[in-house]
Amino acid sequence: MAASDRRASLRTLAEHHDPRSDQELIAAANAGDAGAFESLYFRYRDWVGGLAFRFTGDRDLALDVLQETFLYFLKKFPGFVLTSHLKTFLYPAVRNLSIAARQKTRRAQGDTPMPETIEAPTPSGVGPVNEVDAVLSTLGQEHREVLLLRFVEGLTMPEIAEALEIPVGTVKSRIHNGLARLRADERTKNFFEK
Amino acid sequence: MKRAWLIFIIFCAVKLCGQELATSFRAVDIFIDSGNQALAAYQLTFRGTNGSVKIVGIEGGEHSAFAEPPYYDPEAMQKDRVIIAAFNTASADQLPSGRTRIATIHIQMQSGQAPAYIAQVSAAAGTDGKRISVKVNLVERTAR
Amino acid sequence: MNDDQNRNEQIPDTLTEKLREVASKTTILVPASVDGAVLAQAKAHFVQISRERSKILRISWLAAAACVALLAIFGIRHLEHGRYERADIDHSGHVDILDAFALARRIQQGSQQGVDVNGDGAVNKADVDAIAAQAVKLKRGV
Repeated sequence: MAASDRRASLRTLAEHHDPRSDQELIAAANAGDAGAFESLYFRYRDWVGGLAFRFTGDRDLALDVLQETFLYFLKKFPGFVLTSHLKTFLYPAVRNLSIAARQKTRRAQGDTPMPETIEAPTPSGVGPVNEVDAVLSTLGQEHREVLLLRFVEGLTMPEIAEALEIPVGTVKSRIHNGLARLRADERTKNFFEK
Repeated sequence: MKRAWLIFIIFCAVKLCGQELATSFRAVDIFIDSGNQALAAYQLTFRGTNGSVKIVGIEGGEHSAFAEPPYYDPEAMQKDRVIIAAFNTASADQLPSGRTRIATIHIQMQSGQAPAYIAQVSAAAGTDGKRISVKVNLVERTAR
Repeated sequence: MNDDQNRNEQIPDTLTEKLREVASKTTILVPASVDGAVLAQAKAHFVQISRERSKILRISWLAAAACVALLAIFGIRHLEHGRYERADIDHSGHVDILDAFALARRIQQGSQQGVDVNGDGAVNKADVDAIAAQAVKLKRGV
């Protein structure tokens, strides 16, 4: 990406810092405030983009998914009701749109359509960034997602369950198994040692 | 010539009489019989039943307790229905009991039709305000 | 799910930092052109909403004018209904001469218990007459 694009993106993000909460912005957007929606866009843009990239493994596809996700979100106004964290609403949208985008790409390429799954190919040119990533790559993507949503995004277990559309018990199980793997692996067990 | 005048006079007389009969007035006395209980308050509806009655006047009754005209809606004038009501807070010995004329309603009849009307009591009470059972009947007089 | 269960699995801050690095490896920089495309669509969407609301508002004004006329009629009826209910002194469910009679007896006995039916600040013969007038009114005749 050109340096100018990078600077433009960062500048835009900084200009759009909005102190209002998600609920307040949603209420304003429901009332017809386009600026409120803009604030929500910038607040979640990078997260949606990163998630889309994790699911699609392709930057261009991820940007398409990002646009489609926010268009999907936009059409919910007026009348959108936020019942929990906004990420729990956006996550399944990004995932489903990513799956659809990948299927469309594979069909265009003449490949056999793959079953709907959260598993995405490793983004090209991106290997494990650290030892934790290396250990987690031995787990399925569903375990990685749950750990990231829990300990990086800060979602609660019910919110993760809602986002992934799986039972809370499954969420707990995946978190437990993921941490157990990290505790057991030589490369990462030292994180749990005092 | 004399016969022609006689015929003319008789014709005019008949004509005049006919005009008087086309619109006639009646006075209808309303009686309430409260038996041996003193009547302290009443409310009733009077209405024509064949479309030929118009209410043109309302008077009070024969007993001093109800001598004043009762309450009624002025909108009832020239219509065929009226609600009348009255009360008196006097003690029982100053109130009527038995059969008494509580009001008279003057009506105008149309085109020689026989009048048809009814009265229905909706409330009657003794001195303590408690409801009592009464009978009502109507007696027609001819207006002069 | 209570908070204790949510906090069941805790990890050290150092591990959290490592997980952040894992998450950030898939961060992509969104070009301004993508921002522009999304925000242009958003602007068009909210303009459309605004137009539809204006249309609804215009229709609403007409409906409001009609409602005002109806309210003028029904409002009067409601006021009358309110007076009607206050005038039911004996709580019989309807207003008749017995209510006027009951109030008249209370006033005669010097009681202050009563209903200011006509809203003049006093409970007196005027209220009795008001109840009686209501009782014989043809529209609410018994």
